[in-house]
Amino acid sequence: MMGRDLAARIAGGSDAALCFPLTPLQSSRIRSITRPLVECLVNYYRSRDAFDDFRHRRRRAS
Amino acid sequence: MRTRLFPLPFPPEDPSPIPAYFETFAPPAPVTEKLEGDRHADVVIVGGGYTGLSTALHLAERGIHSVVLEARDIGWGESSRAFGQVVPYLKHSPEHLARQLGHEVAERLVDATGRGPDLVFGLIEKYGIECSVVRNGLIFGAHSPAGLKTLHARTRFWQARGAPVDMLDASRTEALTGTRYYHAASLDRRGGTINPLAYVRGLARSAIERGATVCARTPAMRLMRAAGGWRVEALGASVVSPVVVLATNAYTNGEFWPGLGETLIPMRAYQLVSRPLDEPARARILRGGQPLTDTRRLFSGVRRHADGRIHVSADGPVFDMSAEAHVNKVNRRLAMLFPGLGPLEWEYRWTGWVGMTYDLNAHLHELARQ
Ligand SMILES: Cc1cc2nc3c(=O)[nH]c(=O)nc-3n(C[C@H](O)[C@H](O)[C@H](O)COP(=O)(O)OP(=O)(O)OC[C@H]3O[C@@H](n4cnc5c(N)ncnc54)[C@H](O)[C@@H]3O)c2cc1C
Repeated sequence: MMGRDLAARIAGGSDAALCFPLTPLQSSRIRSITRPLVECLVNYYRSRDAFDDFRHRRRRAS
Repeated sequence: MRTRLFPLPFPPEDPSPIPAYFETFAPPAPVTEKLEGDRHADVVIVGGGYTGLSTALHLAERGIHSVVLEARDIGWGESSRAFGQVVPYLKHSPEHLARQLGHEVAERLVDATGRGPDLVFGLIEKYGIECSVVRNGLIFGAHSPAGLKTLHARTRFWQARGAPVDMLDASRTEALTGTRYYHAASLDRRGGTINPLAYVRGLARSAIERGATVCARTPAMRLMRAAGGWRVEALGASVVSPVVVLATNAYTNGEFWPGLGETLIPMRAYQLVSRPLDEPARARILRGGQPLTDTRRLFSGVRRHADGRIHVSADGPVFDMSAEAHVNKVNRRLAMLFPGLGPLEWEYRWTGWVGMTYDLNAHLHELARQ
């Protein structure tokens, strides 16, 4: 999709026809702490998934 | 600039090779050109993955000549390392996108994404790309009551638009996948699977046949303004062009365009492929031919290849430059899904860097105008 969009735009297509809107280049204010933040988030998701599995197995067993 | 206290990894330095497993079924990479001297092109594209090569191919269809520069081999980045699902979804739900982007923009994006598989399978057919296509649909299991609600909502949304998406009850899910783990699942017949490496090579071959110039092992080093547009320098040669496309994704070198790399979080994703299953297991597991994912927060796909091997997306450390997938976790998960399968021997493993963005949306930036 991105390739088709880019080609159409380069060939003179309008911004309004792009599936992906053009966005400004912005660096994130949390860039410097991205690594620990994402690590925490991924660990949180892992534990939520594991907890869901545990509950799922209990529901199935009962 | 790379942060010091908590440095993020730098994928261009990752030497891990293109997946040997996909290589066994992929046609060889097309012969590419060596960049020499000072050339001119209508468009220069930096990055030879799906984005760069599909741009080159679509430009070629319009009679616009492009030069594609790829730092390593064709598809070296994410494109050769993918799980291989062709999906009609984005990370966020249509409602979420409408809140984020406004109704009109979100509608265009959701509609185009829903037709995404048609675009991919259409290109494959049009250009005769041999990439082990299976278009049997995609199965999503509901792993929790909340997941079930999400699947129902998604299915209703797409059914209202006439898309071939259905809910499956537990027995139908078991019949197609061989697992009793899920109470329900959805089957989206728009999607399917491919060999990602073969597909990206096919895009390159098709673009070249239509007149694009593709230069592998040609890292673009510098980009500067020049008479006639921009000059991109690589390996002592250069290309001048009015338009430059940077399609470098997670493998972006931060110094090439200041700030571009900082919009991305490179996160490591792991893939494992087993030895072929024996005949009884093949007859039972994923016999419908669809890949199986579920509604968990972390992606967890399982597919079975034509040679009877199980292929899984594995969890693992997300930022380490050289780390191993959590294989025990994969084995436990497969034991939950397919009790009786027994421990699998993992014959192929590889990793790739996913270019995550801060809002989980794909972004298109206009970096400068002439
Ligand atoms: C393990 C894994 C599983 C995935 N599974 C799926 C899936 O099942 N379905 C799905 O839809 N998506 C999946 N994805 C995501 C999908 O693969 C990517 O969205 C897609 O490949 C991105 O393509 P791209 O062309 O934008 O980037 P890439 O394929 O990463 O290409 C960028 C290229 O730019 C090159 N480059 C960088 N700097 C320079 C330079 N200075 N000069 C020249 N070249 C340069 C790199 O070498 C690289 O080849 C997966 C990704 C991973 C990692």
